[in-house]
Amino acid sequence: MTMDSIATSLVSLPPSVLLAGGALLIPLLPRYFRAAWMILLSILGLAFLWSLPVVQASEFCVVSATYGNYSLMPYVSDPLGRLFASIFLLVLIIGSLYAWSLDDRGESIGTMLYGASAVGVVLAGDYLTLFVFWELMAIASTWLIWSRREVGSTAVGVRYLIYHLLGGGFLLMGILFQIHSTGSIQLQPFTEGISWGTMGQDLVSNPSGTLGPLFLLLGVAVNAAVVPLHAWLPDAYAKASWTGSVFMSALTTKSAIYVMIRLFPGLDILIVAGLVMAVFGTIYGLLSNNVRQILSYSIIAQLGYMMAAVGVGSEMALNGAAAHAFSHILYKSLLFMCAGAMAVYAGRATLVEWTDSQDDSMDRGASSHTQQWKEPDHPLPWGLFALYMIGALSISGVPLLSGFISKPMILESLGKAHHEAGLLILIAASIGTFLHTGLKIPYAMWIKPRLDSASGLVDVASQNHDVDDQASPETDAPLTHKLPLSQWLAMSLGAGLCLLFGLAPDLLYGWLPYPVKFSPFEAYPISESLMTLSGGFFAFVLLRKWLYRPGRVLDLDWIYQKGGEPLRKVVVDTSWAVFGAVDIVVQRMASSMTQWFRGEKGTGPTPAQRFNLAQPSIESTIAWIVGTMLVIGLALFL
Amino acid sequence: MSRSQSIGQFEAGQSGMKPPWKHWFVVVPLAFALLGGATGVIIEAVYLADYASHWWNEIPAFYLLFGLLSAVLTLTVVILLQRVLLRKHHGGSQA
Repeated sequence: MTMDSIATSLVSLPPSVLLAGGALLIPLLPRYFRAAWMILLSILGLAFLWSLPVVQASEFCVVSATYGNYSLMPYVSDPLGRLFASIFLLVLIIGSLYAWSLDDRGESIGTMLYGASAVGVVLAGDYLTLFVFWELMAIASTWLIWSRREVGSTAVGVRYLIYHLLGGGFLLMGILFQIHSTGSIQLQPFTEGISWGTMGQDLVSNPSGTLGPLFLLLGVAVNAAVVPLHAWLPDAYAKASWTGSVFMSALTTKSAIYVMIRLFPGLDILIVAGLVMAVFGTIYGLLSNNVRQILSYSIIAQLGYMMAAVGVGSEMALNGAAAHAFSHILYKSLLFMCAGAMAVYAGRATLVEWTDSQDDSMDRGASSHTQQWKEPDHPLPWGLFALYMIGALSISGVPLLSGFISKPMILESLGKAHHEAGLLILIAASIGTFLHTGLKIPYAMWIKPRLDSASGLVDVASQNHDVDDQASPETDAPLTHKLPLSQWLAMSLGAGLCLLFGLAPDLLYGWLPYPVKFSPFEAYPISESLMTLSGGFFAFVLLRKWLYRPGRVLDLDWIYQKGGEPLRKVVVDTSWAVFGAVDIVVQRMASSMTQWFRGEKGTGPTPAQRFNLAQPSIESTIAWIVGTMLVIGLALFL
Repeated sequence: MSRSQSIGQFEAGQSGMKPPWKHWFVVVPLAFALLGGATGVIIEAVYLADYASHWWNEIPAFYLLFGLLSAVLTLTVVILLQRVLLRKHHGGSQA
């Protein structure tokens, strides 16, 4: 074997395999080498990815294999996949730097497997590869939620996993129907045969051909957090480990957007779904009181932009969706890194909190809970403010930052497709994003405490003189109020990239799947952005007093949880009763046979005691759900 | 001293401190917002006088008004929804 052939083989190695293989070595590495190893693997993955030629169509298959009668294409190099894989690897580099001082082998392995599976999804050329990486992504990301090791995060992780396993079940059903209908496992866009308007007729005339795309759409919609299937996102991202949420904000939803672009360009219902997501995410972001929850709802709003663009389906719109996913990963990971840093200084992740204190209405004879601004434990530094604001202004679409090079592309594509109402709704949602991410959070974290301090209302220093020795309920770490240098570097790198792509959009435009005929630096998008944001700023100044209310925001998961409780009792309790009874009978028969053969009386615990049937474990519950989904899928397929 | 009392005294100048709008971290964002809005209006007036891609392009400074009104509407809706969708959380922070 010559050196050239070795080099060719190495370059052809899928980045997902490289990352997953590298993850297996992490347990052997000392603490500070782990992050360096993760960064090195990601850089190598990027180098391999970019050393391959890219063709416009998806025919260029780097690695192929056969499975029965099907040709697998686990590694396909095309512009769209390469764009998404590149930004995933880039965020792995930045996030690994942020997590440099992390002393948790399990979380590091989970992160690498998560990154590997996300990269695997966007480089897959067939449904089976896509499904395998899709499920691995769900499991690895759940690991990052559980890495926080709190009672609350365990429950959130279970809910998250159930959501994603259900989504994976729908995806599998869609894949099985699709194979049944077409006999092919290659990823091809549904340019024909699926239209929301004719869905009813198609279901009757061609059930298998219609159910395939429908289940695929449903499965991908769960990961894309399409309202009302979104509740897992703010639930999980606010409870994941601080470093885990940085990766989660980048990978799961954006890989779903990639699949949407790949499979459903021009599907009209996605425009409506996108508009609903944009409005819903904006309103809930403004309602929320927790920094990471606000950022999570803001993800839903931004995904709405991308979804609407996929629904429009023109070349400019698909470019816009891909570019916005790229930009969004950059600034959202920066914002989540800043949220972690804020918690280190502030000692909490909320903006305002309820405390028991006497109201002004005490003379009416009743004490009540009053809103009190609990000041941050330590003033948040202005350097962090600058980095945060680069991310916040990017997401708001301020000129010369990364959001501005992608958002106007989507808006213009909607305008050109004559969706004027949709265009105005998205502009309003963009202003809402500026209100919660660009104004609500920084005002509560930086401006208001300093105004209070300057006015003598609160003496932060005397109020917090003894907090340094306490443990933060949010960070699970001593409140040292100092960020490691690696975290400053990671945030600076993220902010630098937001500026770089904002100033030189052609860097990104050159990687987009279609030729770009758009320039953001024209009078119209600049004046539109400046005027709308200015108007939004003054509205915030007028109404900010009433905007800050502490509390837990009720989302649609409340309905699921309330409405699902009786159903859960019926399904789960009945299932456990039936399977428990069968289990006991089998155990007794086995025990009797053993005693009969041995000729002795059993003295050990009963089968019911041994298996503790009254309290089924999480693992067995998940196993039942996966098993049931597979059985249903196979039954429908057959 | 309650919060509203202290704000009242503060605004009445009893504390002898700078009023909020005189702090640089308030002045700078306000200046940026004013400057940004004015720049947008000027760009529209100079470069986009004949531009008519949508019906609203005929209305001068439409986006400034739209930004203000849509933000006021959004914030009002949110403030009203707080009564319905926010559940009080006593003590401790929620992650």
